[in-house]
Amino acid sequence: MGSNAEVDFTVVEGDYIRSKLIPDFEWTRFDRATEPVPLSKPVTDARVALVVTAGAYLTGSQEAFNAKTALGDDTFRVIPGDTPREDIALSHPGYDTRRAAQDLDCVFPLTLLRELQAQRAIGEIASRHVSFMGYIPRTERLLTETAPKAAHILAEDEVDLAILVPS
Amino acid sequence: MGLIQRVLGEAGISTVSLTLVREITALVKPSKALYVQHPFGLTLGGIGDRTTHEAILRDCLRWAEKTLPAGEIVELPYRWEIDDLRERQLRKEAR
Repeated sequence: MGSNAEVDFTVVEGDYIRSKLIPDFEWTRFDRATEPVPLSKPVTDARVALVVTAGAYLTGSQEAFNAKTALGDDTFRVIPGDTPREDIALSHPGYDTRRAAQDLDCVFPLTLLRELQAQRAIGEIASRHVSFMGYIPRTERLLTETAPKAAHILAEDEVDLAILVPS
Repeated sequence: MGLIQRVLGEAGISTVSLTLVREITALVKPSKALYVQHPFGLTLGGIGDRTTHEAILRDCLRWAEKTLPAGEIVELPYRWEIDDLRERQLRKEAR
């Protein structure tokens, strides 16, 4: 398929959100990039966690994300690293979850990361991973409360590297 | 995604992210992002495409070890060529 150079998704999506959902929507933007935090050890020794915005949650014990509100859902779910695939479901308004439900590694490569651990490509898989739902048009609380709580969980688990996977 | 990445970095956690939309990442400016031109919901590749999934995840590990300037967006060589799903999604004509 061809290039999408002519499509600026920030304009298309911004216009869509303003016309259908939130009239005063604006993208959150920053003037300066955050500095990369260097890995403190080789990745082959590192404890690795996944942070995804696929809207993944545990079917038996967690509520689905609210995919029906214009204001989005800035909460997150903690997914244990040894969760069986069949215990994870997806809830997200922004993409058709039926595709990824057939192969969770498309958006939440937990099975694959376990295999990379077995191949010694990473030190170990973290005991807890984090799932958000990516439609969060109001970002204040995400930045000041919910994402810092997620960071605290990963720090508590002494995670060396977080791989962030959008949907 | 980039916003969460900023917060994790400020908490002292090393991060690397994938991005499907370069323009949004350019606004948010997380520390280090890898751009793949795949559809929403098929970030690492198509259903059952284990080869591409693993290649992208291994790219994340490889680039995580590299020192790059803050805010770098690295373009990875993955494009969706199966159908026009990504183009339609970017025009808000498909989910």
